[in-house]
Amino acid sequence: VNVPGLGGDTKESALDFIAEKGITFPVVFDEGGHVYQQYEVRGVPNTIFVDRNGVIVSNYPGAMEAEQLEDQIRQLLEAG
Amino acid sequence: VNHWRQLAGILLILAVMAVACSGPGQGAPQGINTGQQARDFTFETLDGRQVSLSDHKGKVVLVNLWATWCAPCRDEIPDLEAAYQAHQDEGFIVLGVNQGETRDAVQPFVDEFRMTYPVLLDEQGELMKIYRGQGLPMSLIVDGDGVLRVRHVGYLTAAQLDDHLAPLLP
Repeated sequence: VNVPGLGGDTKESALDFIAEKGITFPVVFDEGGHVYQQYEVRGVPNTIFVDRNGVIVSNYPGAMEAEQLEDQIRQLLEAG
Repeated sequence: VNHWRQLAGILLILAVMAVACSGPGQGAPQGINTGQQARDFTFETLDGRQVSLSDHKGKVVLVNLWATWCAPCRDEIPDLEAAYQAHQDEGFIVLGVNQGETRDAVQPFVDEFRMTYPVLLDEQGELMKIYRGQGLPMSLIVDGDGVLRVRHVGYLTAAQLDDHLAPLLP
């Protein structure tokens, strides 16, 4: 499972947040907001799931419930 | 018998207080869903005034929950400012309620974007929790009677904003 997080704020504040929350997944910086524009994101957070073949399988605008997140990940991992 | 009379008296007083607190002619219960009396809130503005939603009864209010780091918020704020300038004389106001940031972070942004509508500071992000917001930006449109008419999560286009405001403004 690869979880890139894309932010619109400064690197400094993002690094503080990552340290504070103990985030271990890769976080990439999109200071130009390119991904935000290309994916026509309309609000934050926004979570997009991509399968092993690089195909977008779902797009969740807004906060995800932990259960919803777990279900989606399990479903994709089991699909192989 | 005296006890019952006392109890009846207390209940009557409570009933009168409940009616008095519900406001004149406002039948709908307070809540966070469309069709309900929009739940009131009070926060401090950037210039240090305490401002409540209920201060603006009689006006159409757009409450915009936003943050400086939120890219879609940055994109829609110029449209909100334009709508405010175009319609403020018709009884329209925008309250920009910043979520979770300090005055020092918010003020430069407000200057840069030349925001003239009131900007409120909600450093704990309470309004997001009260209105059970799922993301930013989020806009709430409240009519002149204080009834929540629109809940919109995510970027609001200028066209969508016009569509929402048209039936509410004179």
